Amino acid sequence: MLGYVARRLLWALVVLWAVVTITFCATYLSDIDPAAVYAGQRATTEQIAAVRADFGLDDSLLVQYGRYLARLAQADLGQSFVSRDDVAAQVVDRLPKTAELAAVAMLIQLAIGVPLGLLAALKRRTVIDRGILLLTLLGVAAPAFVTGFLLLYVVAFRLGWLPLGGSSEASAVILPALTLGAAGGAWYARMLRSTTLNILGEDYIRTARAKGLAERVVVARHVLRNAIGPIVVMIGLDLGVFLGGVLIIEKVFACPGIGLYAWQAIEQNDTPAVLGTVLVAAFCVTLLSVLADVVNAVIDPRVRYG
Amino acid sequence: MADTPLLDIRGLETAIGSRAGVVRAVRGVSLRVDRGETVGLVGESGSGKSITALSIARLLPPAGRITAGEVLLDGQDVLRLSQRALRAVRGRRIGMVFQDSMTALNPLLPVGRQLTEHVRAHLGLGPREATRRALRLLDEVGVTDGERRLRQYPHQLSGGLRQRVAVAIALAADPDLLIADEPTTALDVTIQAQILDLLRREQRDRGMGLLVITHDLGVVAGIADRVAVMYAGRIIEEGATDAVFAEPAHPYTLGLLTSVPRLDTSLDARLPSIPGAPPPLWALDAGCAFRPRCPVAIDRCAADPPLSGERRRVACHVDIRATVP
Repeated sequence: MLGYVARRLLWALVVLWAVVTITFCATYLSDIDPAAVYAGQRATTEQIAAVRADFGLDDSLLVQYGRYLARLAQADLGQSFVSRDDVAAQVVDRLPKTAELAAVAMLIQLAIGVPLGLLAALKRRTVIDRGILLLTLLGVAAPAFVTGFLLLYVVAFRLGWLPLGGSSEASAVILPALTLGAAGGAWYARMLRSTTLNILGEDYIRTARAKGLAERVVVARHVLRNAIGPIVVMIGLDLGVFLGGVLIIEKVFACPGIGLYAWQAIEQNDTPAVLGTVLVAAFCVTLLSVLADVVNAVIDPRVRYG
Repeated sequence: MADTPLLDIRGLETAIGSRAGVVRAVRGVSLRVDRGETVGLVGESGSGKSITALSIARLLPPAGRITAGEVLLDGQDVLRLSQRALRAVRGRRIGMVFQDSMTALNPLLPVGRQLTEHVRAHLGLGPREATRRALRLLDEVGVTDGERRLRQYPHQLSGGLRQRVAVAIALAADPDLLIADEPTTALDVTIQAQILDLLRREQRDRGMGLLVITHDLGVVAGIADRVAVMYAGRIIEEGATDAVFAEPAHPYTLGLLTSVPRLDTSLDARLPSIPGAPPPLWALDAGCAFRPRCPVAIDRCAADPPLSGERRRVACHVDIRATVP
């Protein structure tokens, strides 16, 4: 088990290194001259050259890459071109807001997806199943900015039940989380339905029924347990993505999290901030997916001993 | 009670929905299994033997539907039982062993759990008693080191051990009838013999009825008192195993028996085989389904022959025992 965890962590490190390298190369290839952005629009050529020398931008690619890696190792994401703030500190500042959104959205996602998916599979080819399929198709297909604005308009603006975007009230998280979770929940329901249908056709389910077990025992002990694995993997990946900041949702609801920060950074050509948020997102996805794998190994002995 | 057979299948009809439409997979099967008796149900794949077995405990896949007939267990029709009453029959009165123990056991549950869960429900045992019973059972089916095995997962056991565990699970609540669907097909030859030995011994010691579904005539010869041969959803011949093997009365049975390689046939000789293939089930007409492949078919075979006879039943218009030397 420990060996398995170590192997997964090592692999995660390789993935992260690849992400870092690719993003580094991407910025280097881009048209944007970081020194010009940093120096500002009214800067003279001399001033830009001074900035360039100051930041070592004239050094060779390899030297810059090495310096970059060394700073990353100390959790230094650099300094924003625009505000001159420390990017890492800014990200850490916004993390709680994003984490709150991620957690609530995930809860909603599971609360919608698991019961609907299970119900659809157990009632396959009935009106219930078809209804759930149609509903979830809508949920998957509707873009987040559409459902988001719709919810904002109806629930917050017209009905006034919940605060509009940008509010610092605790209940402000509900609408963005609902927008995110409804789409994810629809997705989970569809996935869990097909997983469950596959499992229901497995020989060991027939064995369980042949033993005379009650249907609810068959479902809880034999079907669900085997369906958890794929769900855990999805939870891991989704949580990772959510923690990295959900740009559109945070933008629509003016939710001051990592996503909104990344959005603004992109708009302002703020390279260190963009890179920083990309790396944080990659880090979250990788870490959570390793965590999901470990949880899976706990559930499934074949992974553990395989 | 002495006259009531343990299992009495009467006129069973099972249909399976498929892309090609609804197919009659089992077309009027009648079969008895008595207490202390082993019956072999043989046939090629697609003959309806496994569907017959699954129909008995109503374990058909969702596309399957029993459309007619009775499955009398001690005179009580299993097909009419409520879900609750059916659950009390499954596992408790009818134990089932399936072909591939790798897929038939839940990969995520330790062996012990799978061996005790239904026993606890059926016999009302506590966890400790159920475990004691499981250990006894493992010992009985020849699994050593039971304490450790109970904690292991199916993938940690060899194929033979897994099938022994599957047998133990089927026997755990002391069923009156054991149905084994291709119990040895997925195993190595030496392990096959061990599992057959085990089934034979358990059947004798417990005085159970045993219904073995197989495509393997060797399995039938080694274990069954009586044999029923299925073709295209019907039983076409049935009788005492010795008698059927010594003197098959249906041309299909004869064909099956002569196409089994024997140690004393010359390696150069071509193995006789039945020409053609079983007819697709959706393309059956009113006549004998074997007619297109039959070497002795006559005009009358355009009308399906009934399965007739007392101890020895045959569905054929031609008495091949009289015509074949």
